[in-house]
Amino acid sequence: MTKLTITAGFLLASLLCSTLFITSVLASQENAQVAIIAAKKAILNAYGAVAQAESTGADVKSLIAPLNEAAVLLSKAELSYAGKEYDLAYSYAKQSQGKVVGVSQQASELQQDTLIATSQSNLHTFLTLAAAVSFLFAGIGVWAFLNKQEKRRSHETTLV
Amino acid sequence: MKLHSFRTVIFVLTASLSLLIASPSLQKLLVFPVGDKISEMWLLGPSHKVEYPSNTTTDENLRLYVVVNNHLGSSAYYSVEVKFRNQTQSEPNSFNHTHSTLPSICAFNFFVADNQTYELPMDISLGYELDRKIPLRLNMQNVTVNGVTIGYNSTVIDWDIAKAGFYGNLFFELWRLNETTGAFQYHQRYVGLWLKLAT
Repeated sequence: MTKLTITAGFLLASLLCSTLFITSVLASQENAQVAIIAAKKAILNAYGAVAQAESTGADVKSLIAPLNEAAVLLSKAELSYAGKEYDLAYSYAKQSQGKVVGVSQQASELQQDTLIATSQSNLHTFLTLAAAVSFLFAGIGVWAFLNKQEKRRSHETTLV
Repeated sequence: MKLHSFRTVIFVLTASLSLLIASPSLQKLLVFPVGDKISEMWLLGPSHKVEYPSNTTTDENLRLYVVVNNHLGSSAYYSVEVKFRNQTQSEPNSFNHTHSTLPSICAFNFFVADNQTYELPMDISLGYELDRKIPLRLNMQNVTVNGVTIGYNSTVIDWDIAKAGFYGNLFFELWRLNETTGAFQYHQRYVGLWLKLAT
């Protein structure tokens, strides 16, 4: 009876440990998967903001470095996940998310600065062209006036 | 000397001055021809040159560099997919601009700003063994990329009678994020090399 009890207890303990281990691995795998998906989304969002800023003419080179750090960590996370190293994959994925924090905000600020600079530049361009055209018309006006005067003098000289 | 004698000179001077004043603004309005918008991709061997290993043994480390250059006019989000095939499996096709239908072993994502270059170092080793039942056949076991071993036993390599050896093709496809769909799309660029697998 005692032997049976011990054996049954041992089997039960083994079963419990196995279940706990499998659950732990599955939870670890799921956590890693969720973290990787979140990291992918964070990078996509950050890149979207950077691409939008770039489309307005902003110089976004300074934002490529943190994006790349995040992308490299995400690649490491996915590679670790493929190699069934779930805890490592989770860690890399979390680090990846951390790298893009603030990138969207910075991109937005760059975009605003560029829009203001572009607006000022456009105004400057307009004023410069207006000044140039005015100068040209003034020159034409002076030429026409002097030309008319010359013709009048020639006409007066002929009459005399 | 009367002023009207210099009317032409005055006109030419004012016209030249107008052009000078307007030139910085005109530069902004002028549209210059733009070159082709493309991405370049190439492969470098262990010594950073166009010299590649042609043979490998099981679990032997191969150091390669995949280099991508962005000439698209804006920054891009790329992905390099690592694939391995035998002589009969699906390969990328330059004429049809299609990628291999094989699943990738792994992928590396990175960003490249316009007119910039990105270099991706990789340490790859192939794990394989001779098939014990079928003669002249290699069974792929795994592929180790940057220290991480990934199971890859779906590919078998048969003896190539013409070349007298077991040959496998390690190749890298370039994919690029489509900002509209939010998914990576094959960018019609790939590089690769054939390796003789020694036993």
